[in-house]
Parts: sequence; C-alpha cells; structure tokens
Amino acid sequence: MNAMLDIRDLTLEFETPGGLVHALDRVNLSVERGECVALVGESGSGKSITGMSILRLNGANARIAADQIALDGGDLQGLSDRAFQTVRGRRIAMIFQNAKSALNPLRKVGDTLTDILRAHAPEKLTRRAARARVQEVLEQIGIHQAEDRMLAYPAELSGGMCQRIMIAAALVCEPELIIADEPTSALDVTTQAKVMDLLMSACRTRGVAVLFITHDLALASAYCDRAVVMHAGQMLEDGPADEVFVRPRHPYSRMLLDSMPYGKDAAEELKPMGGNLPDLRRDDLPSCRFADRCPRVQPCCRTAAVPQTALRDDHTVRCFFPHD
Amino acid sequence: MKYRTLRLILWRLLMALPILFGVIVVTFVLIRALPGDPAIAYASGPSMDQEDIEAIRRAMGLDKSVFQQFLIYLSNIAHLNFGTSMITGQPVLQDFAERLPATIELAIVAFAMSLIVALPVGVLAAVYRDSWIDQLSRVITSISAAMPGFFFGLILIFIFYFVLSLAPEPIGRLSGWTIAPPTVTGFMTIDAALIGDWEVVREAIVKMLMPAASMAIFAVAPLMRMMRGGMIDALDSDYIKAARAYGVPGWKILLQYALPNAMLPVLATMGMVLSTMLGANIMIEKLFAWPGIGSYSVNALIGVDYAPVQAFVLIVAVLFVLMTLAIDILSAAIDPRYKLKG
Repeated sequence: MNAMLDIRDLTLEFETPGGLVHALDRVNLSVERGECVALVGESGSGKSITGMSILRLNGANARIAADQIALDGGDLQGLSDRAFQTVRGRRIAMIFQNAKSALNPLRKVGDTLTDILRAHAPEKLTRRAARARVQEVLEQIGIHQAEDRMLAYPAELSGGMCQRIMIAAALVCEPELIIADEPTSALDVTTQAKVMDLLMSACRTRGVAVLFITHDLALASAYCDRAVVMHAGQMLEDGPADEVFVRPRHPYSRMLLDSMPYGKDAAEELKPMGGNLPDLRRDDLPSCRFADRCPRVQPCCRTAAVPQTALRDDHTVRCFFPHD
Repeated sequence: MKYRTLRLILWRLLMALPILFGVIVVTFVLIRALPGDPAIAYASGPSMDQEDIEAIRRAMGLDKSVFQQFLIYLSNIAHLNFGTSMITGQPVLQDFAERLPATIELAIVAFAMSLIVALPVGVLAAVYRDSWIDQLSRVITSISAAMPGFFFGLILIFIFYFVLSLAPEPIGRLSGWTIAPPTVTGFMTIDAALIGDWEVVREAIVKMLMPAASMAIFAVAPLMRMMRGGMIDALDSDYIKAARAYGVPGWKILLQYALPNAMLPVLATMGMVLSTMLGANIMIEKLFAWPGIGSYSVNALIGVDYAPVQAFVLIVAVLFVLMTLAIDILSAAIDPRYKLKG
C-alpha cells in the first residue's frame, strides 16, 4: 500500500537579490495513512518551507526540484495550477501558527469556513447547506454555541478559539493529510494542550494523516508516532518518536535533546546548542550542513555525499558517524 | 447597535464644535490682521471725506472694539446670519447657496475621475508587481505628484481648446448662448435632466471634463500609492496565504479577501482628497471661471470683504468635519474592529 505522503529528494532554492538560497537539500519524507509524523528542528531548519512546498505556497521566486511529491501514490508535481486547486484544502489542509492573522479580519469566521467548503463542493452547494455542514463540524470538535461563533469576527475571538476554528477549517473538507505548522506555538501553555488534544483526536478518529511541524520536542514526543529531524534544509534522522527522542542516533538530534529542559534534574545538565545555522546563500556549503557544529566531524563529512543509512527498518540517519 | 452608532455620531458632532470655534476665532483675527480698511475700500467716490468714511465704518459695525465685534459675529452665526457681502450686496448665505452646488458638482466629477484612474491601476500594480503596469503606475504617480493642477489645466486648455479645438471654451458651466435650466438642485446636470434637456446635460458634462481633470490630477498620486500599498500588504498577509492554502478561488481571494482589507487605508485618503477638492481648489475655479465658492471667496478676500471670507472658511471646516465623520462611518461599516474601539 502506498504511503499517504511520499516525498523523494525534494530540493528547493530561492532566487533572491542577495543570491541563490539553498533552502532544502534532497529531503526525503513520508507519512503513512493515519500516522502522525513530527517534523522537528530549530528555527530556520526548513520545516515550514517543506510543508509549504507540498502545497506550492513558497512564492514565485522558489525553484522546486523533486523526484516525487506523491499523495496516495499520485505525483502532485504533474498537476496544473488549476488542478492543484482541488488538492489544496480538499486533499491536503494546512493549519497555521497564528490563527488570528490567518483568518480574514473583515469576514465572519463562519463565512470563511463556508468559503472553503464551497470552493471544493462537487456540485452547487447552497449557502444554507454549507453553513449547516460547517456548524456540524464545529460541534463535532466540541465548540459550544457554534452558531453564534460563526457570526463572530476573528478579532472578537480568543487565540485558542481562532485556532479551533482553523482546525475546523482543515477538517471541513475531510482531507487525507493535514499539515499543522506550529499550530499551538502562539497559544499559552494551558490552551496549547487542549488544542493539541482536539487536533490529534479529530485526526485519529477520522484516520487523517498529520505532518506536525514543531520545534517543541515535548509536544512532538507526546503526540506523534514518528519524528523527522531537520537541520539547515537537510533531513538528518527519521525514526519512531520514542526512539528518536529517547536514544537519538544523530549527533544533531542528541544536541537538540540536550538543549531542551525536559527530563533533566539539574540546570547544569542543560547544554545550549553551540554554533549557528550556516548561511544558506553560500555556494560552498559542506556536504553535511551540520559539519561546522558537529562534535564528531571528520574531513569526509564536508566533501563526500552523506549516505542515508538504515539502522533498522524504520529508523534511518544521514550521518557517517552516528551514535550507537 | 443602531442606537449606539447614532450616539457615537452625535458625540463626534459635539466634539467638532470646539474645532469649529477655533476656526472661527482664527479666521476672525487673521482677516482683521490683513492690510486694507474695508470702510475706505467701500467709501465710493473720491469726493467722500473722512466723515463719510466714518459713517460707513459705523454702518459696518467696525467702530466697535474687536471683542465686541466678535461677540456680535458669534451671535449672528448662532442665528445662521453670516452677514452681507459688500461686493454682491446679497446675504452671504444666499451667495453660497448659489455657488456651492457648482463646486460640489465639479468636485464629485473630479473625485470620480481620480478614483477611476487610481484604484484599478493601483490594484493591478500590486497584483502584477514589477510588471509593465507597475512601472506605468510609478510614472503616473510621479507626474501626478509633480504637476500643479492649474498648470495641468493650462496644458489641457492649450492642447484641447487652442490647438485641437476639441473642447468647448474653458469658461463657466455652460456656453454663453445656452439657456440654463431652472435651478432646482443647483447641479447643472441634474437640473437639465429634470426638464429632459439632454443636450444641456451633455454640454454640462463636457464643460466639466477639463476642470475636473485638472482637479483630479493631484489626487491620483496619493490614492494610487495607498491602493497599491494596501493591496500589497493584504496580498502578503497570513489570511491570504491561508485562503490560498485552502484552495479558495483566486478571484474570490482578490475581491473578498484582499480588496476590502486594502480599501481601509484608501478610504482615509479618499476623505482627505474629497475635502481638499471641495475646499481648496481656488486656482482651478479661477482658471476655468467656474462660478463656485472658491473663486467667489478669493474675490472677497481681495476686496477685503470680511463676511464671505469668514463664512467660506467656516463652511469648508464644516465640510471637513462631515467628511471625516462619513469616512469613519464607512470604515466602521467595513471593518468590525473599528466598531470595537467605539
């Protein structure tokens, strides 16, 4: 059976006045049906851009090359822009970090949801029917007084409520895959858990695959089946969440984990990540872009193409010298 | 909700009163600080001696102290008595009632012209950034910002009247031999349409084209820049990106998502532009001999005719206040966040 999402060798560059930015380098990523995959890494590691490029949202100056970007076995790259409209929102939905600014401030949230539903309606869907369906989805995900909420403007709702609305927006067309880009990072911690529970249970019960983009390793390990670690546009480790977060094999994953406060007894155990991401405009980027920060670096890391080694069936790492 | 809106409007009107009072004080003081003695100016004939001049001064009430004059002026305004023009010999209010429609009619046409040029080009320039239409918008904006309206008017007259003879003579609202329709609204086009005289309607419109274009030119630059900038901000926003990610059709994103958001800054500019067209286009009215309030007031100012000048400034101030209020009401109608601020 095909994976829900299967990306092979995705390379992305941005043409900017300051030169070519090598944003993504041969990224491999797959999400099985009903699976939740965490895409983790520090800011600027290319997580969001990976999500955006699946939906072709990277703007006019992006140059994408990939062996395949397949959804349920069918490559999306061959689709015309017009045909791709039926993928956006309908087959793949996206949830954004800042829900409040992702909703049109001049439109009632119910109307925004109805717009999405009607954009993908197979035949002419009446306004009434669309509104009824939107209300149904809102009630399903536990929003009280859904009918009143639909008449509210984004500015009248809390950030948490706006994110719930966005989750409803993602679910309303019953997509096969949801890309959640830092869906709770703009929320305070108490709301965060509620919104995450809501999102994940909604996806699990519907069997929707989720690509969860986050820098929060605790959230990722709590909710996801698998984790993919990214650094400077390269995918470094891909394995079951409990393995990656407990016994990371890649030096970067280990450093990332060491820099997080979770599960540590004393502040001294906390080791801040050394160094910075390399300037992606450089034309002489080392073959492993982590080389300049890596404690185990050897000369070959900078020059030779780094192989993607399978440690086990479901755990791969892109490194010459992984931890045991 | 309606009640609350109404109360807000009343409150805003109330808050405008101190502004208008300030305008009254400043105009009153400034015009008296100007050189020229009205009593001497209106003492007709060289045979008049000092006594006659003093008699005129008394008749005009100018022998009293400035403070007394001000109190009398205030109480007159309170009774909607704006005095009598020394030049026309008519009550100022009547003079303005005759001329204001001409100014408003011209301003509306000029306003519409500037919108028709500025808004579509501004939108297209934002949608197709750095394309030829964006370059065109830059050229239009530069010309509009650099070109004085009266000079543009002179160029228009030279080309279309003098060289090509396409335009009618640039004097007034109708040509000398056309019989004006009976005055009902004061708007030439509407009055002519009321009696079904379409020939006069056509002539009135054609007569307005050149002065309106001269008036419109200054407004194109700010409107187009605001429209383009507002549209670019809107198109770069998260909600547009989200709408795209959800496959909302492109035309819907443009018309229902980007455009209303982009219109908010444009609305404020529109208010400013229309107010300026109504109150400050004295040069254009002079150039085209347009019988509006601008040219009338300049004549009054030159002729040290106190009453019309004071009334003109006050009327323009009232227009500004009303226009700002109208723009605010319109903004609140479009933007729900506006209402929240109250």
